[in-house]
Amino acid sequence: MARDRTVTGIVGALFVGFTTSLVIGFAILAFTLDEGAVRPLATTAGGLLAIFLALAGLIVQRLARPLDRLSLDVLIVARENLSHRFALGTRHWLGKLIQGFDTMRDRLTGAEARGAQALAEAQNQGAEQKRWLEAILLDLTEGIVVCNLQHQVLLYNQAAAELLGAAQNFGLGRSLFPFLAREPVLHALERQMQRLESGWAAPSARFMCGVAGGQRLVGARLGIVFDAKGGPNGYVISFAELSEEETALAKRDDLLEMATEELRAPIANLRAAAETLSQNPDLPDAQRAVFQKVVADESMALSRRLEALARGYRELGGARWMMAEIHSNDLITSLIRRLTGTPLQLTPTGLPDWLYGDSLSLLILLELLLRQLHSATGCEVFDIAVSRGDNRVYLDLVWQGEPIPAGQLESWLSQPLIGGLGPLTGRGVLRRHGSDTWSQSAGGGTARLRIPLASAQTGGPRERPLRPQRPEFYDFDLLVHPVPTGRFTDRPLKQLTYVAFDLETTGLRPTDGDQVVAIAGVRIVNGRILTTETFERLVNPGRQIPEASIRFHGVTDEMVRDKPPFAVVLPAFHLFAADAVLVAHNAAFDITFLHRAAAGMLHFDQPVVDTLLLSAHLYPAEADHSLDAIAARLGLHVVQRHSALRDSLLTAAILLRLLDRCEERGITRFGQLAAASDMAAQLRAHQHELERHAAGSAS
Amino acid sequence: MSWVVSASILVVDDEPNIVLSLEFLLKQAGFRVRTVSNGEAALAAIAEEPPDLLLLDVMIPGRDGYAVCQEIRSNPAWRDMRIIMLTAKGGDIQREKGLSLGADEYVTKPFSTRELVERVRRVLDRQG
Repeated sequence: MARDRTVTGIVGALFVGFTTSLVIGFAILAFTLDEGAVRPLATTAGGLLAIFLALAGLIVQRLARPLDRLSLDVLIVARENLSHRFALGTRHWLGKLIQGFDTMRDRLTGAEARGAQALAEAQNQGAEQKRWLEAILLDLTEGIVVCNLQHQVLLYNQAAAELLGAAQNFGLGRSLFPFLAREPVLHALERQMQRLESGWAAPSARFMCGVAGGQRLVGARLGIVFDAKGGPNGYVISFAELSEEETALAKRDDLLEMATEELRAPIANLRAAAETLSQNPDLPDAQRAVFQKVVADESMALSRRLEALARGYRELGGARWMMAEIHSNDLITSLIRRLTGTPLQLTPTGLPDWLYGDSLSLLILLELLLRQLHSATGCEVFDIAVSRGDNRVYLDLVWQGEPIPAGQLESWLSQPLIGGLGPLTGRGVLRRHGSDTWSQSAGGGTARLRIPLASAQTGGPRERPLRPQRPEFYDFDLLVHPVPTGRFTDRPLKQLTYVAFDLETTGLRPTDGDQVVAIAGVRIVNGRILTTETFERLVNPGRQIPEASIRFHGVTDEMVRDKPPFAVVLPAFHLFAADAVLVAHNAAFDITFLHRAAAGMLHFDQPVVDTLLLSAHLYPAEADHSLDAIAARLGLHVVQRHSALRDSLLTAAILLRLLDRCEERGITRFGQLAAASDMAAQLRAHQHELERHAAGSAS
Repeated sequence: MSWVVSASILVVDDEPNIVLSLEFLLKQAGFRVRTVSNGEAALAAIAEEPPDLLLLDVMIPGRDGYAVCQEIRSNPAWRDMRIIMLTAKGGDIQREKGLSLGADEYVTKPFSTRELVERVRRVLDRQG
């Protein structure tokens, strides 16, 4: 450890050391000299010593001591008092140094004053903003809590503490979760993060959440808080008492139930009795009296129920359940994540869609049903199929085996759900979604549990408007040489594995240098579209994407700038499509691009099914065989983020429908299908030739 | 057509007043009618003598109408039995559930008794 030394001390020590050395030196010299030579030496040495001591005194007085004094003063200025003056008098050699220190001190004083002023202003501003924020937060009946991503509370208002029933223990820096149920918050956060990643950020996620140990529910919204760089670094939850709202909603449900169910029965009784009386004027008196009594009793009962209904309705508020648009893929991904660590395997199939509901309660319900199905049937492997009906999206859990009896299903639904949703049961969740569930045979030795949910037709993010259709593409080489069917010839259609795919390109002419900008595909196994077994890549075409083609696919130069070229993407797609029959709409177009890019590198030797040709074969009377026209005819609907994957999914769904039609017409083997397609191709080629000739002779 | 008139019908409903009317009108139309008021009694009555047609209310005590319907359809011997569900549950999804579980028709209360008798005839006729 360094000791504090003064300059005076150091200089003094140096002089003492030097003087002592000098004296000792003279003494030693004196011993070696004659007695006569010692005297003059001593005189000279004494003189030198006197001069040296005088010089030393001067240095200590004018330099060392002032320096020590100055260092003390500087310390006082630096540590305690910026306006402290240097008290060195005039007898020193430190003029420039003192001047320099004085200037520095003055500048520091100025900077400090300006800093203090800025700080005071900022503090005032901060205090004012804080007062505003406090006033707003205090005035809100909604609870507000801001947390970091470690779920520690950074800010909250009084309403939050009161709503959470936690006025005593709630506080900054503490975890949110003893007070608000963990699972709904984490799920809402996950949903928002998913949406952020997919580029579909909604302002906030709505959800319901248990508080006070699950005794009550609050309706909440969660929004992400971003740091200065735009990355998520926390979240804000606003929430309001739902129990009053919930009571009102429960009452509304009761009233609706009364109106739609309880009233039906007495009206039916009344109507039946009245009609019996009017249609049978010759009824014996005794029987007539019985029916007349029914009319009187039921009329009275009806009046009473109607009064109760009207009274209840007047007392109702205008509350709404906490529903939001959910993408089926997000729901199913979360469900699969929840099942991690269990023996249950879930395969998503069908066409993804938007539905309307409360994400977490649906998730917990689906998990409950899967676990119960597993323990009732012993099955570990399930499909979860999404399909669209009239204004509804069906979620089907599908397994090998028998349907579940309605009574057993009802007992599963009557259990309270676990997972931070208060006192809700599975039946309650279904009722809240205006839904029901049942189990029935799904053919082929499988059974399903069906949950119909409202389709979010208007709620979900807008679909891309219908784009112009790609013109029908002909490659006569492909048409002249029939598609080889190889080992697939005798295979039943539905047992084959297919990959429906679609390319987006810079233009329509591969021979003129047009390139691929996107490729997507989806696998179809055993007649099921495997929703999550998809391939989707953007590709850098190495040239500018013309504005005209952006209109087709929406892929811009910006989007592909850092993407790999097709030569890099193609081997991955080759692997994805291995052993599968390729399926494309207007396939000649996509296959031409694929083969040109693969030339000399890869070989796509599997057969190709063209849904355009297949549709032309099955529906010869229809004029329009574009993807969207066929989809509209078959009532198919795909919501998807990017056009290549959307078209792949649509092509897959169209293929499955067309395969059903094929089977109805006795086309059951792949060889027959290929022959039918070839026939359609030849026909269309002839038609095309005729049209060209007609156009040529007209001009 | 003659067998339709003499067909047997089992009415399953726990509302005595509707049963009273239905029994009277169906008998008047020439059908043989039995009545029970809950799911278990319905299955017992069917086991004893399967009717040609079941008029089945959904909300009955014990096993509800959906469960009774599903159980009937799971028994090959009863697969041809016609089932008309009568219910105060008027939603589209409940209707779809009823039809999915094997009902031939799904009639929402209140209904015209004359139309109901007509519908019973039509459904039985389909079988013939």
